[in-house]
Amino acid sequence: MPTIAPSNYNSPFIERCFVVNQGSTQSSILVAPSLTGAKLLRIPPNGLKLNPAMPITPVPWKTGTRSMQPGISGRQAATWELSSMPVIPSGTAGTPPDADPLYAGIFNAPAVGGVYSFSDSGLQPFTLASYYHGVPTLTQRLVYGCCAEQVSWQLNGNVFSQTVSGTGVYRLDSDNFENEGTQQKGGLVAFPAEPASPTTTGAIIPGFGGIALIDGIDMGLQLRAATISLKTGNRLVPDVFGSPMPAFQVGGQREVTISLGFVDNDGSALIAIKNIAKQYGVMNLTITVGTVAGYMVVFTLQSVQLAVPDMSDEADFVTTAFAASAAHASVIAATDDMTMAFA
Amino acid sequence: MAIYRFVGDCADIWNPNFQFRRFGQKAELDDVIVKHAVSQGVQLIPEAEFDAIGFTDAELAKFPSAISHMAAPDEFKRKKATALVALAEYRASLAPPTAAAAVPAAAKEQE
Repeated sequence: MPTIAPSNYNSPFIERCFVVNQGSTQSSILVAPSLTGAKLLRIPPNGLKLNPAMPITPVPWKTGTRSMQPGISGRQAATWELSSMPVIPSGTAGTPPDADPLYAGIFNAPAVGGVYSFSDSGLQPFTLASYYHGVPTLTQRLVYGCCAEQVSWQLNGNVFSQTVSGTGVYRLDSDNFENEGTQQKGGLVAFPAEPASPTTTGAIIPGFGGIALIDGIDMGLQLRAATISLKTGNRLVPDVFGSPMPAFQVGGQREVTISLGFVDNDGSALIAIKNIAKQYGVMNLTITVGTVAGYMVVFTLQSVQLAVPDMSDEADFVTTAFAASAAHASVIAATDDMTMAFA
Repeated sequence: MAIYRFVGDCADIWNPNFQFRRFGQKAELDDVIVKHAVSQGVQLIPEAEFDAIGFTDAELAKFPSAISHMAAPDEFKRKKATALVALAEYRASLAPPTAAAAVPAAAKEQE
């Protein structure tokens, strides 16, 4: 009787997650890259999901029984998510962080001097890979052709963190690589080995401490909750005739929103923004997380139209909460709804 | 192998393992490892370039981290800025030449 005892049982803590840019053209989406220049991402347990999206198309006809027949292969794609991933600046002001390929994908453009700004015409697809370090016989995975669709940055937590999710062209894994089709392999002839000598720069930062300039006034001492959300409008088109997999990326309207929760008070600053909200006015917001040069992340949101706030009771104070409120380009033809700067 | 100086705040090379936790930290490293690490974002420059900037031992002892640099005198901040320019130039020198940059000067003169 053959033995089935495994040599190794997996552990979540031996996983290493990598990200690498895949180029800047539509055709580059379909080509899985070398991982030589991949950057190591520091993520928490359960921080990375690389899931195949491979539904089975059921057999549609009547068989004469009420039992089902096996289906056929359907469309193929992948989904991915980086949950509660810390935002880690490099420690040097004006330089991109380790997660640069991820942010470039979010903004559709690489950083300029540590500043990420939206591009409507570019794209920056990337690959996410997961390796169980030092045990190549365990299942190693990668999703290439990643397209960032949704991001949220959670402020005022113990660790400044973000959740990013989206879709990808295909998920490859080391167990099944040899059986994959040519298109699915994305140009690879073998499943890539784990990057041998990763590097990291910088350290995690708290999600609190910094400046919250709201319509020009620092209201950081009254602010208790803030979340910046982004729907990039990017999407992989999954249903072309010539391939079971997505073939290119398109861009719809993006949506930047911020929700804010203040400790309610009678200060003129809070009353002023309540007034502006009720009159459908707009204001600019600059939220700086961190206080040390090299470890600051500056979000600049233009023309935010704050929602009319709700008030709710806490145990010993009242919260004034502005629900998800949209930022807008400062002028027609601008794409400055939001920028993210590592300063 | 050569001596390099760290001009960032916190960085790691994971294989072989090197931890950099002090601005100005000295390390003897393999050139191939340094080339890879610098292209990946690690803030290392050759010692000769670091020495040319003129940091004193007392300065490096007093201002070892990004947070300590906030209170450093302008002279130190100027030196740090020079070090970061040196880093950018060093990193650029390690990058593969672009097609335009690869055109020999003689060929450019003929154009």
